[in-house]
Amino acid sequence: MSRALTIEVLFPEIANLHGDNANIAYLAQCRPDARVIRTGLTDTPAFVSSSVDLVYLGPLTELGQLKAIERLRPYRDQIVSLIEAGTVFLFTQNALEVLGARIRNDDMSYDVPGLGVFELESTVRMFGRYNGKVMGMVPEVGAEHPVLGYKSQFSMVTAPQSLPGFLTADRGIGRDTATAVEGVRVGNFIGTSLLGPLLVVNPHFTRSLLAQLDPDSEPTLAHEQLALAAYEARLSDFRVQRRWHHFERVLPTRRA
Amino acid sequence: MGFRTTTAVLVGRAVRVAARARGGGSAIPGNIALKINPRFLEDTIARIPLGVVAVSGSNGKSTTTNMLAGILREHGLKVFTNPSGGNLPQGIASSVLSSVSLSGVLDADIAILEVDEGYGPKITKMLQPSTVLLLNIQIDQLNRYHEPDRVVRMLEEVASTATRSLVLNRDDNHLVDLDTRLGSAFTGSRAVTFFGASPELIGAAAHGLASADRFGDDSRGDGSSRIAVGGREADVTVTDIGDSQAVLGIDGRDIAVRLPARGLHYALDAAGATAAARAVLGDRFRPGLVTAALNGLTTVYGRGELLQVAGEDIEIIMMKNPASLQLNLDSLESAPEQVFMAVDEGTPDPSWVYDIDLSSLDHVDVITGSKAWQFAVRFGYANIPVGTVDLDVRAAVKQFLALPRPSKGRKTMILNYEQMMAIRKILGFKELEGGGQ
Repeated sequence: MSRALTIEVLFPEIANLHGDNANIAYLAQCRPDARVIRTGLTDTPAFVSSSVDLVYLGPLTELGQLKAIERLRPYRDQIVSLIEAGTVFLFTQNALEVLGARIRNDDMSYDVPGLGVFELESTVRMFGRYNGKVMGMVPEVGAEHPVLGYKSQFSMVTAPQSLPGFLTADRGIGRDTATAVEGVRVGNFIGTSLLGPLLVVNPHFTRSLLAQLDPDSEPTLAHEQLALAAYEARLSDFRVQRRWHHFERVLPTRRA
Repeated sequence: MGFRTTTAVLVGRAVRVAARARGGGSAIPGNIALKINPRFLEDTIARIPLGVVAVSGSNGKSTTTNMLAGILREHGLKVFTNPSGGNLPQGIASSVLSSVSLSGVLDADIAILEVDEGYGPKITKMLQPSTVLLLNIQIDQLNRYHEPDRVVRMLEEVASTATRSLVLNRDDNHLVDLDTRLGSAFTGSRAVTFFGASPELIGAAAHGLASADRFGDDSRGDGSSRIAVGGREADVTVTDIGDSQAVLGIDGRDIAVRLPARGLHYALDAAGATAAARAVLGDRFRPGLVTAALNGLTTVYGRGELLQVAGEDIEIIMMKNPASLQLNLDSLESAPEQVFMAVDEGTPDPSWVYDIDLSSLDHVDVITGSKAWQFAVRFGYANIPVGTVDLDVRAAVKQFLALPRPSKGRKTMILNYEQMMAIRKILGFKELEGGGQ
């Protein structure tokens, strides 16, 4: 039997670049019964004292990342507990880096510890910007419906091979240019640098996420026909190899 | 200097002719000239008697540069400028090639240069401008800069190269006190002036001026005090705006000016240009000449430009970044009757369109370009009906032109830069931007 979902959006006033708040707007359209809590920078996160089905953090400027780390640091252990307990988290673009061990930014002269939830480090380089497409399989969605997205970032993330990725890229790069493993997937925690916004442009993945959030109800997509038509058009485009830049192709040896 | 400059001019011009014959590449001639003589810009522009005025900021550079050049010309000065967006070193060099003599002399009293934020520190360090005009810092092309604070620091570097005067937007969160951050060593020997808009006008704008948020000064660690936005006395103030018109207040006198298109942001560009002209001209500045200058200007490519095609007006709205698109949409008086949109890979990640309030549009007739479906979905989620999605740009343009004549006589095209250039050609406007005219 379906139940109302509670979605918490962290710091929407600063974590709002690249249109990624549309991820939550879209979920709310798919589940009009969902309660969306928007937690501001000066608020105590709702997940600290109540049950939340999904915790979302979107893309931030570099200084925004530092603010988010500062605000979330007191709740670091609760975040770890929630991830271990199976709460769904979605952190998009550079929000994932907030949970890493360290963010190094030589251009802006800082090297700060993240929350240390995951064993990953990010390096920001102003003249190391990367813009490119990514296409890869997410196990629960299947190979016939790869997840599609864009990367537009100044940072690269390094992490040990043992840290599971969100997807393995068939096209495009992963956490950095040396790997096809993209993002982080630990239990129901999903961290990915893919933009689109992810849920808006990947209806099949969104359907699986909705099922994960509420296994007792049949997932319904808002604007389903349009979303699927746009996905198919984008997938056809992404499958044309000649449209991929050389830097968007990770060598097969790096896919291991 | 002489031989290298002459060679750079000769070869650069030859390349320019070849590039134009092939129908593109307006920055290539400048690039070649700079390869032959890396000091090509210093050897030509830096010799202009009244020096250089550098114009920079996130949005409005081309429009403001055009306005400032017009105002100074109206005051009788001969102006060299990079007229239409070629704001990187190679683009500026291409502009030089079109008007420099073989010996490297530009027949101009003053240079007004639009300068890219990223290359600004390098260009201004090279050319040592007498005056720097900074317009705004907004969330810009996220794939280029991302962090506004970086842009702030780049523009601080640009500002610090001004040898005589600095002109700032008092209504920008980051520029309102940029002079205090440069310190007394700078301000003690340069004039710092401001331009802005009345608080009422800013308050009435749907999304304000889209100035990038600013975190507390603690993040900078430079001990600078913070002055509230709008908290500086302005030399030139926008006091009223109408349909493509504005009133500028200068020393208690109201000056009516025509704008290239509707919108407070264009009025603010006019105020910035006027304040910079005043800083450059000093006692020679005549407010009355501003009206004549701005009334006689032609619009810069795509920045509110009105094209005449087959007896119909087509307004071009360029979507460069979130702030500019939002401000241009906000300035629409009513939902456009016929809307065409084209976006391609020149906007690698257009997902920021989900941050845009699209409520000033009630439908889109045709969407094209390789990102067409992405935009169709965006409009769909906003419950804005879309007529046709056609990835073939020529076919899409043809369809749009075939629509019945709009009752208000104007069709509207919303285009990214690359599609703007391509569609201008399709519509029969062959000249190139960036010094290639």
